[in-house]
Amino acid sequence: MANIGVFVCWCGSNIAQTVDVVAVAKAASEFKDVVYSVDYKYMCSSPGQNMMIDAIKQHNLDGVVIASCSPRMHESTFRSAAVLAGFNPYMVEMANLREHCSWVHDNREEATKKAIELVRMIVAKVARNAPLNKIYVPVTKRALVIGGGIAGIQAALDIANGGVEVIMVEKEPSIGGHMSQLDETFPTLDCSQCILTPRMVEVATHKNITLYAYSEVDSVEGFVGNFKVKIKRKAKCVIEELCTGCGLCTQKCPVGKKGEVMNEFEVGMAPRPAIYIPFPQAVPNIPVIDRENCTYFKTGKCGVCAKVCVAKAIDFNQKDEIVEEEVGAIIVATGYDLYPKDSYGEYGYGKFKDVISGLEFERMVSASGPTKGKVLRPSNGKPPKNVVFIKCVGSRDEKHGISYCSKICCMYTAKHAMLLHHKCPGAKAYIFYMDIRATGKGYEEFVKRAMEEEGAVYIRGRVSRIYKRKDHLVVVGADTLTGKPVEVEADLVVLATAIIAKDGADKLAQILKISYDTHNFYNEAHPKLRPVETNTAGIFLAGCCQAPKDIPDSVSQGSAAASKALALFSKKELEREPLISRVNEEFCVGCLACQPVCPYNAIEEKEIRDRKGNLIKKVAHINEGLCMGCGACAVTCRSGCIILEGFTNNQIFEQINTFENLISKFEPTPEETVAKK
Amino acid sequence: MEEKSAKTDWEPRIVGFVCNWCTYAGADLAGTSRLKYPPNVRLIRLPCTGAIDPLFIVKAFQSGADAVLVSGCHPNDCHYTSGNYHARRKLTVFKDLLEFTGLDPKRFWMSWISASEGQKFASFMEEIVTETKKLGPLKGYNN
Amino acid sequence: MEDIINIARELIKRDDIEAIIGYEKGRAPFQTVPFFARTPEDCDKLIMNSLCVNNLVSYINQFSGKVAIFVKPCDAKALVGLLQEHQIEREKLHIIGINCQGALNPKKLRNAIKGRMVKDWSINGDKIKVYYESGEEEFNIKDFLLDKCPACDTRTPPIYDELLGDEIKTADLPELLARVKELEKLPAAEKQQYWNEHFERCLRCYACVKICPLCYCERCFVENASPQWIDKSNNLKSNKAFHLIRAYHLAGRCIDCGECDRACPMDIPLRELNLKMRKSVEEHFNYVPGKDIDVPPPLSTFKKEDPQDFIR
Ligand SMILES: Cc1cc2nc3c(=O)[nH]c(=O)nc-3n(C[C@H](O)[C@H](O)[C@H](O)COP(=O)(O)OP(=O)(O)OC[C@H]3O[C@@H](n4cnc5c(N)ncnc54)[C@H](O)[C@@H]3O)c2cc1C
Ligand code: SF4
Ligand code: SF4
Ligand code: SF4
Ligand code: SF4
Ligand code: SF4
Ligand code: FES
Repeated sequence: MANIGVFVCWCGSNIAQTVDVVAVAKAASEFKDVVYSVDYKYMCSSPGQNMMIDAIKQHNLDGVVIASCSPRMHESTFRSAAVLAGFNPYMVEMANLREHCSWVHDNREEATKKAIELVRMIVAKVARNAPLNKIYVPVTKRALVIGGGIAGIQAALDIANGGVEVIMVEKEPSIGGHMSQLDETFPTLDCSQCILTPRMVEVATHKNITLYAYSEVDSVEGFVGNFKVKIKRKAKCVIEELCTGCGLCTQKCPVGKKGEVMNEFEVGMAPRPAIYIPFPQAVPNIPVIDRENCTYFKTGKCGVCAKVCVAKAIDFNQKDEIVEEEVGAIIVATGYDLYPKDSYGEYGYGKFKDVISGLEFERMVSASGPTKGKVLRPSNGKPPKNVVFIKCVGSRDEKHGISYCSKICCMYTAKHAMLLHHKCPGAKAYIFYMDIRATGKGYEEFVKRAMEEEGAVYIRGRVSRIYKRKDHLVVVGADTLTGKPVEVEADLVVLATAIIAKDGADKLAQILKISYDTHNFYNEAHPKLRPVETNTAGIFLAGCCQAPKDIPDSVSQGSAAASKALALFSKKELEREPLISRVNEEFCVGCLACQPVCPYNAIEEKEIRDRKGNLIKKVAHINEGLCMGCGACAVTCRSGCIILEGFTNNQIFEQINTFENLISKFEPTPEETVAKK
Repeated sequence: MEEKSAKTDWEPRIVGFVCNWCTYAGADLAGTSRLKYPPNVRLIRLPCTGAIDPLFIVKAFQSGADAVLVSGCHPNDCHYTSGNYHARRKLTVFKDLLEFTGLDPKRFWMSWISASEGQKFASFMEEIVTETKKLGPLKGYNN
Repeated sequence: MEDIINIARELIKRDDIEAIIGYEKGRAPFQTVPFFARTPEDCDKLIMNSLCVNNLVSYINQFSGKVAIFVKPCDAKALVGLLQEHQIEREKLHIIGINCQGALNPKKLRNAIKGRMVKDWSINGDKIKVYYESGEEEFNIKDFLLDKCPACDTRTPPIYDELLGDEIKTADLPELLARVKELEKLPAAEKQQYWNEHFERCLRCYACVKICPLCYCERCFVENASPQWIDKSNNLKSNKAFHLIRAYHLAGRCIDCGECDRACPMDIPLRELNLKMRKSVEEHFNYVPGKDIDVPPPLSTFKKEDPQDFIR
């Protein structure tokens, strides 16, 4: 037995002009369960809202129908007003008489009839509504950041500076990611290390940040606000607490001297020992033993490092270790990889010594790099005269399975041309390009500078092949602007190879239960409106793991993800809409047909046991911290064991039932009555 | 045919089950753009097409609907990412069953109408009403 | 028969097996009934022949421990469905596969003996011998097969731990969906008339639901009273709703055991609806039920490239 109040809005003349609102209110007063029905000029105005509030109290209403504009417009207005009146907001529903009626119909009689029907449908629904309460989920105030590239660093620092603890997990011995490998960065040509190192140090020293370097995420359980994470810390074989970072061990280690082990950080252009710190500014500045290449691990003999270490920090018996952490939010910032050498045979990459990648060039021009900042031909160690840069190597090339643009190559190639000009005076840069995409702030100007002031020659066209002629490489292509074939005799060729998803990105996604696209980049929850969220509540994205991007974009995304996490942490409990699905455990048979349907992995199997602990049955359980109320599971359950609050079958059936007998007539309101109102 | 045209006062009843995020919003846009379409359509708002139970469709026919429409976000656009794909599978099969048991295919419609396709919504309503008028009142569900 | 008894006797000796689910001869003519052997002696009662038509899988969950079960291809297909839908635990089963060349329809046989009193019957190869009070008569089994059998493409169970005999491949089967295709060709109005006439006769006894191995819901949607999903009264309107939803619930799940069809006292051609659903799911989603445990049921998943020709 419901006491429903109906409030029909004129919306000035927006509704009243085409719909006889007075007649609608009158007709509504005769519907079952309706005890009060009025019309009013502007329901959303504050007198209108007060009118609703007063009527709720006066007529002891337990359901309210506002017949006005679209619920997408004002549902929250009226529901909030209801809360002020101490009335359960979910007992307020709206009938859409404006967008769906008065504005789309001309015939007053027909529009009025339809309006009456629309109100009747919503009245029938409200009669079946149940008061609902917001759901509160406790939140662990601690964040996990996976990946310590610039995106992860930014996110971690923002969160930590916001006063929240951060756990950072980095796979490599040092944080820094690709940015630490770069020399100078576009568009300002500031030194990458100079701006990055302070941030890396800040991460290491921040009181709110715990850094697990040389570690990986092993498993993740739980849900938003309540994740349980297992982290695998690979054995460094160096006791961190004792190590002073003096580096003596790395100098004395006999491995690598003959170039049998190459440094990943130097993109394979310089050797490294088995116990190593990848680069001088590494954070943490503690060496790790690469057990695969260490003589002691291979033969049981050696132990030079242990002998020279004064701090007694070497421990060959260290084992991989699993640590468990509880966090409330996770930021994934695992970055990217580059299209591998051997996949681009056309350009002789991996075959000709003098064909290198952009990242190799980057190391070459770096003062701390393998050539101490000199551009030299790998084949003979002499400076090149002519350098050809080829853009879009792999990118935008369906043949190579990469349909997308890698976004940064246009810019860093222009940068490389300038760096060549600066560091190798007299050398000439030729750039083969398809388009120039320079869309960031100051980017177009930067490219222009490369062309006009730094003498880079831009040739529009694809390179068809590269072959060796004596000591040189001949780059053959077609200039698509002039239509003529071109040939450049080069000493060095630099390929702007495509940015691809990090190796193992798919596996990490499966651990985190987030989705990824066909290229293994992680999917954002909405391409426009939720660019740093994933579909799994509480997990956010930053940097190149989502798509190729440059440093400014990676940093913005890092900050954006941090602000999302901080918003989550800003309250003790997470407040969620109660319009979610629930399982009727009495009848659920545990078929789990519902489980794979849920886009948010909110459904899990639950065991029901008696007091003695005997299993009675298994049922589906919906995690109210995760359910977004899409209703897909409810429809999938054959026996109707799942109800979607706010849209129960009961409510929908009642709406449908009103069709059985339509209102065929109403009493039109005389002009004078309307005019008096 | 004669029988139908004799009943001049008969107007088809169309029930549309639509998702909140796309088609309902598309219908709102038809309104804000002041487009016109026949008043025979009643929309029932659900969060997503994935929440539309085939039983709703049967119930609608039983309660006198002459045609039923299910409409939501285009593929890739579902607010909940996959509700429309699930709806598409389920309703593909259910539509086959309805047809197999004698429902005219022109009485069950499904569409993707986005929040920006007010025009598509309006003209689609126009079309459904016209087509349903040609078919006459639905029989065999209620009587 | 020797074979199955020997297998059973061996299995029951194992500590981990609580019982063996099979058939024994029933009292009525041409009847076999489910039988649970718990001792080696029990095992001697076990039989297996083309009159063993009941599906045994629904008995599995009566046991808490591990059971061994004899399954024909039809039962095995149901088993696949139930395993796929988490109703049975694989670890608790020892499956003995039995090949099948078609099962007998007891109803048809009873018609053939024209009311004479049957003393006993025995099956030998493709013949069934019936002993009357006086005299005996022999019938060809293939003249009395269940409707589903001639076109059945599964002669060896799709799942088993041990198989009696060798795998059988089928060839030159009659078209399974012939009848469905015939019905599809009718004009809409005739289809509606055909089905409405059938639906109208339904008693809503739910024998079809009760016997279906995949209708294991604790509360079938028809019993859902809050809200009442479907009017309980027996009239075309609610019967039709029941039938549409029942058939839809079996889409991508019905393994065409034909039990519902056989159980229906009103001879409503439920199999035609089931097969239509089978056809639809196979055509659109390339899925046939009862084959693979590890794939999710077709109506719980999707592919982005699923067909959508009918969507505007
Ligand atoms: C040749 C070249 C030149 C460039 N020049 C410029 C430039 O001048 N200006 C500019 O703005 N941009 C430039 N860029 C782009 C720049 O490198 C990227 O924008 C930036 O590095 C992206 O940062 P990130 O944190 O997203 O990823 P990354 O730098 O790739 O960092 C990801 C981090 O996550 C770690 N990680 C990966 N997987 C895991 C895991 N499973 N668990 C734990 N940790 C993991 C990695 O080890 C790494 O430390 C250049 C790129 C290239 C290739
Ligand atoms: S309503 Fe949607 S989000 Fe919620 S549990 Fe069901 S399928 Fe998942
Ligand atoms: S589909 Fe229904 S019966 Fe099956 S597990 Fe989910 S809630 Fe339970
Ligand atoms: S619907 Fe009928 S044929 Fe299909 S599995 Fe159930 S009982 Fe067997
Ligand atoms: S008809 Fe549907 S609801 Fe009823 S028992 Fe079968 S599957 Fe369950
Ligand atoms: S067994 Fe036959 S009569 Fe009984 S409910 Fe099923 S279809 Fe109807
Ligand atoms: S929200 Fe529109 S179809 Fe899912």
